[in-house]
Amino acid sequence: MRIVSDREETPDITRLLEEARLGNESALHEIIPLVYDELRRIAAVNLHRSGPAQTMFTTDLVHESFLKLTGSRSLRWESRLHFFNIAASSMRQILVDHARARRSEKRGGRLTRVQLDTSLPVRTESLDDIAALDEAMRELEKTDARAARIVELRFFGGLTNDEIAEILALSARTVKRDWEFARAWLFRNLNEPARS
Amino acid sequence: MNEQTERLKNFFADAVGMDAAGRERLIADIRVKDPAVAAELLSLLGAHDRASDFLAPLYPSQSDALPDPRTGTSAGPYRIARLIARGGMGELYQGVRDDGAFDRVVAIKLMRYGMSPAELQRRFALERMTLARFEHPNIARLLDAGTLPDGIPYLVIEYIDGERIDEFCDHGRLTIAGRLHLFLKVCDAVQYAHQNLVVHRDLKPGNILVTSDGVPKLLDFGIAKLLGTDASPGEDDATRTGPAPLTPEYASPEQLRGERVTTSSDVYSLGVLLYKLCTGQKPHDVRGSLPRELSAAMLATDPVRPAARDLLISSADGPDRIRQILSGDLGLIILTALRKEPELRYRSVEQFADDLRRYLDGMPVSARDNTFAYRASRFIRRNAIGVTAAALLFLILVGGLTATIYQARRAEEEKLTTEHINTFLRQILNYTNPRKHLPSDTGHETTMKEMLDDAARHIAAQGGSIKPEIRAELERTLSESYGGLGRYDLMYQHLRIYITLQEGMYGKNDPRSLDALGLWAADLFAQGKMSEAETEFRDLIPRMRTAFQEGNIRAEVLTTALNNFGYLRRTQGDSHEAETAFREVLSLTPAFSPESRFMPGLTKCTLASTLADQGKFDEALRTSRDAVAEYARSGDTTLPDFGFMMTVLGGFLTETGAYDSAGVLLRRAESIFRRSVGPTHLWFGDNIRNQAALFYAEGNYPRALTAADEAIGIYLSSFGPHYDHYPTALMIRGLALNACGRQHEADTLLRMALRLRTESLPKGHPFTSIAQGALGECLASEGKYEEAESLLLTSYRDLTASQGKENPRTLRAAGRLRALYLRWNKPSEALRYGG
Repeated sequence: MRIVSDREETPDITRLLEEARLGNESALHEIIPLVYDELRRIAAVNLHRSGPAQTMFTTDLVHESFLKLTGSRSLRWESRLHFFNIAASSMRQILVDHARARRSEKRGGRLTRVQLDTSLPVRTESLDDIAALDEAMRELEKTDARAARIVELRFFGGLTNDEIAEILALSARTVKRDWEFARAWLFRNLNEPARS
Repeated sequence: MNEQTERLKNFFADAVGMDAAGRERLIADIRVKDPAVAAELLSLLGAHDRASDFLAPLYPSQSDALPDPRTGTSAGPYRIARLIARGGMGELYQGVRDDGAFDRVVAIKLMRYGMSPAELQRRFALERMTLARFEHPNIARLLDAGTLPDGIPYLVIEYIDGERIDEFCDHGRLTIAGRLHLFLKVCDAVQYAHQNLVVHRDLKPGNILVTSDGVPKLLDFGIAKLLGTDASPGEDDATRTGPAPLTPEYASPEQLRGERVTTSSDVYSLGVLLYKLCTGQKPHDVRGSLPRELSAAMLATDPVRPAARDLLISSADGPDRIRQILSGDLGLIILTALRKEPELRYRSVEQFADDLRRYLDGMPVSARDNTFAYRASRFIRRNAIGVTAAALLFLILVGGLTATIYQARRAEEEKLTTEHINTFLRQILNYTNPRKHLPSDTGHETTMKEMLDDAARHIAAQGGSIKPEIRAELERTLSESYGGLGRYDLMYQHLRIYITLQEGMYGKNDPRSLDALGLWAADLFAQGKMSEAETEFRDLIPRMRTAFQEGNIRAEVLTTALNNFGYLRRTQGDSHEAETAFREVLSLTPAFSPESRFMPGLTKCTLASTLADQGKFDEALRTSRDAVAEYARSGDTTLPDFGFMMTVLGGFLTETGAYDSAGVLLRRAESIFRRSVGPTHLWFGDNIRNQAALFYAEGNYPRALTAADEAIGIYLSSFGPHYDHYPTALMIRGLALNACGRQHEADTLLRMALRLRTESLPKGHPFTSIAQGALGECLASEGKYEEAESLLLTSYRDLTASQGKENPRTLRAAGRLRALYLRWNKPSEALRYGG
């Protein structure tokens, strides 16, 4: 049966997530490439669709990959969060890679693939900024790693403040404060590049 | 994050909520001390104001940047100053009273959804009488209400400058105890509202703010009801069906189902709140995007045990400590408040709070009662062998297998497990019967007994060929094992063999024999040979003192003898010499090994009993209460020792009329005994006897009868009629029979109890007086007034002499006289014994 063989090919991410949540490092190392590959695959599929109606948010991508990887199996909420926690980092990596690739394409003048832009999971103009944002976030990490992490979870993982609060064991108020601070900080630094 | 970033972030967070003028002042202030931070702050604030859309496209908007359409407009005498929050029902603003009278900051809540303004006004008129009456330090007052020019109704509420309760707890890194104290204040407020027939219906962290002084304030009382859609005037508020729950995760199952909402719903919501405060999480492991899905999932699942949660709180108690706390009584209390069936929850907020206070005071909690019977029975079925093995780890204070044995074995405690005993027996039995299949972990008590019998026969047959030291050890182990099974006859039989062997090896004067001699004396006591036992102890104890001072025996050998001697003297009626012995034990506490830490607690409770005998009832109550509380703080509360202590305290509490607390303690003790020593143990008998007394006191005579029967059975089978509590059990049975109209049977029993007392105790002993009182009461109801009068007068006179006039026992005797004279139609005599 097809379903069975599908299952066999997919390692049991549910179990891995449970183990990772309980602090099993090697389970975590197994999950990260799984999540990354799946996200990249789904992103690629979406990148090849066309037309404005197909525009997707990163949040949707992450959710789709989540459903794909875990199937319909029930999962503790903490494990779900753990997944999105991992997915946020992966998403950031994928989008940044894509943005860099696009930059070099522009420079290299490979116009045949410009069509991709319209179906990217983010607004075209903001994709331009993704690579710059990533660099600014690296700067922010140096002074306030927690705030940078919150940006990653919120922007790339599509998580809400409450969910982030659960993942990072902070109060929702602290998350909101950090988020506002980080947003202002990044905005300022991106618009006044001389500062960094 | 370095210090400067930290400071910058704090300033930034403060400034974000300010208007332009406020920001300017703040930046000017900072600039004086720290121009660099001021400049950075200014630049970030500028960025903030322009960045509200920045990083937004990738996720659904979270309304972080709130537009402020109503700032500056008026709501009655108040001016709307700034938006505080936007919620499901409308917006919350800060307002200022600006009619010139005085500056008063208030919170103004605009009710955007729900019913028509006319309907809200009508409801408010109905409710404001109730709500305006609310004067409680932990409830934010509802001040006013009205309608804005555009028809939107608003409420004016006392403005609370505070922090959400969960965030307050985390920012202050409050300990669990600190959180509980705060929570109890919330309970006070809810209880107050319930007394005023108002159910909150929407208790959640967002509705409870804590001021900087640490005072929690409840918001939105009655507002959920104001928003109700089905209320008809005149319907009893306490049972009115509620509106659809505003916050499903904090709503009770009956609220989720749209059923009748009672005060019990608030108990549930408080349970969720406490769960959240202690774990940082909500009790149910469910998420759904729609409230309806969430509700369905919550109704279908049980709350996760708090101790099994990942902890998402910031507390000065570390995670391990918190998990440990939550796996104990506190976890049970929380789950009791969260029971899906309202009838299984705490009946009231008061009961919930009381249990928490008991928990904080280190007293046993009532939440245990719900689960123990079920769990104990399961446990015993599953672990028959395990329980009997655990039963070895106890002592029978009353002349039985004593602490000495316990102590001597304590070093080998770890080995005294099922496995160890099985190994021990296997080693012996394998010689004689290699094919015999030894019970594994599925064994039962009978099998254990058979194994011991086999072992005993084998040892007896091989007697000569086993080295005496080893034989002695084996006999002692057998003795303990039989004791663990409640077979005291066989326990003493093997104990006597042990003693003979010890004396044979070391002679009577060797310190190594003292331990055995102490057991010998205790054995005499157990056989009812009181004066022989007394003589032995009087000879033995001074020698033990010397041996202890010379370092030849451990303190425990001496104190065990003293404990048994004290108990013997008490049984003989000399409470004063008993007290001296118990106090000597307590004075030796510092010399105990750490494993004996339970001993002072037990001794304090037996000391309390002797104090009560002397009429020092208050001191007795205090002593046993302190002992229980102290032990609960530091001891292993699963050990039978703790059960014994609670049983003693429960008995005193019954006598003072504190039936609820007595019941909690006695049932908790019973559950400990069931799990440990089993239902044939003397301590278990004492517990059941005290429960019988409680049932009797509460007027539940049939149950008193059953329980007294059970206690009598245990006493007779495991000790005999010379056990000092045996007559007490007879008396309770007799009184219960009398109350059931079975005077004839009662008469016989009560005469037997009195005879046993008179025979064994000195004249005028309080126990005799009490037995006289019981018989007198029965005779009075039989109409034998003269005989009753003579007994009751003696009882009253002797108790007045031995216990004092205000003692509960004396008062009870007076009450019996009063009842007699009233029945006898001699009211003037009755008046002499109080009203």
